[in-house]
Amino acid sequence: MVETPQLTAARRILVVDDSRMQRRILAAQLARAGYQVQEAGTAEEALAICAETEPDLILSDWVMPGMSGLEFCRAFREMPRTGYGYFVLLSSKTEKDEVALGLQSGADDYLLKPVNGDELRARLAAGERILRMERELKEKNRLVSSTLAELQGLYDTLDRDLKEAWKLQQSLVRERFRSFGSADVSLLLRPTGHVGGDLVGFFPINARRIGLYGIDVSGHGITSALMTARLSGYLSGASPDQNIALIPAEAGGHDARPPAELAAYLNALVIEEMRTESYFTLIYADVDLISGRVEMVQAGHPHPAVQRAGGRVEYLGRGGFPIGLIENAEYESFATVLRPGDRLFLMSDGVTEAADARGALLGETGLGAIMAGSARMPGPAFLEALMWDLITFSGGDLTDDVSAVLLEFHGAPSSC
Amino acid sequence: MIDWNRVAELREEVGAMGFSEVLDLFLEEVEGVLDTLGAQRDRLGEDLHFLKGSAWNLGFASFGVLCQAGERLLATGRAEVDIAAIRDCYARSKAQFMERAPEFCGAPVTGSAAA
Repeated sequence: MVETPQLTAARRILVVDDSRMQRRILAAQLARAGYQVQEAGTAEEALAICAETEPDLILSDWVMPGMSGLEFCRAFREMPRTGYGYFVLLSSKTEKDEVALGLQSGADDYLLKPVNGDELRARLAAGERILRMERELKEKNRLVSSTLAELQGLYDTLDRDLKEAWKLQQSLVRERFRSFGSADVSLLLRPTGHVGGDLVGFFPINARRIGLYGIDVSGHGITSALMTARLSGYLSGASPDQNIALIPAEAGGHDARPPAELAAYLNALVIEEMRTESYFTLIYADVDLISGRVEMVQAGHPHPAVQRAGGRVEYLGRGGFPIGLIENAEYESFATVLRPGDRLFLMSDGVTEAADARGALLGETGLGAIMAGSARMPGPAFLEALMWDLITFSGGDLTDDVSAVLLEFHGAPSSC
Repeated sequence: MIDWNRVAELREEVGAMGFSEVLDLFLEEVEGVLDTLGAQRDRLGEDLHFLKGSAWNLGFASFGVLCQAGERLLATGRAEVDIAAIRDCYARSKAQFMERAPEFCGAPVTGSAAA
């Protein structure tokens, strides 16, 4: 017999009674209500049937030779099933506590013999309502699960895309180290998510000057990643003609805009042309590789640190507004002079705002201690050690992107 | 002695054909148990319970009451169950029932079922 499982058809009932007469009466009463009736003369036989066909409803006598209705009910509840089975105990026992005992054993309802047909059908209809609800709930559950799986699939696709985007973003900072002879530049870029809003880089301005920058776009998502991609084009070392920091020099070649002017220019560009909700913080340094003079602008980025050859750490700058937040914001340049052995460190707030387990921030003091500890390490090793120190400090839970530029100034050779 | 309302209710539930079948099963099962009732003491309680259920199904009210009383008496263990009285009650109930049985086994019942 082929049966199509239907959500609402809970119509298969198993009648268990040692009296054939009783079974005959019940079968007649049930057939009138359209049930498919199966019969068993003992609980043992009934269990075998349940293992094979999984009836929706059970109507079982209590007192039977061999296994009793109560024992049968307990065994029935132990059986693995795809859906709930509604169990009605039938008895001519008249003692009051028998009902409680029956229900405690796992029966859903209890009927006294002789059974009135109308009452029997009404009680079973109530049982069917419960089965129907259970089956509907299961179906909804299945739907939720399959929808969840579908969403998970979509999420996985997005995840793969983001991983690719991460690779692409890392490629924006292809060159992590470059020696300019009198100075070495090392870069660190480590997004916490797949794609981040941090960007670091450098570009030659002319034969004796280079530009260094650190950028942190608000947020970490795709929008901020796209913004960093665009900004890296604006500050490209590969195509000087498109680099907005550079201007033609009178004697040919390139000169650079003064840092404060570059910040104001970027601010206007973002507000007037990019028209996005995103803004970013910037630190930009124009470094003279011969004299060691550094002119900088700070726009909301953490204060740049200068570690003197003697080990002392100074923090420079007065803060400044982030780029793209306030129209016509004014920026000011400031300068310092590096001596041989000095290093300039430009970092994102992912460094100074790394938090330990109790929520305390690393801060400039903590960073000063880290820098003092790794003072003798050359650039790339120093940045690697810094990353480890940050991970240790935060207990492995860095929440923000971490990026930094380190300039080690060796000084121009005396022959030059 | 016979609860004719219950008999009519059963007849209504199972129909004329069904009623004849139920009656045959009743006689077969009940008399099968009665034949050996008391022969095995450890079966007596179960047998009385079986007889009581069957009796009530077919409206054998007095017989059912007597079986239940025996079942209870046995549970207390204070006195012997009067098996002869139970057999006697069954015989009288059956005689009374059979007088009107054709009414229920034949054409649909239309009139009053009260005794």
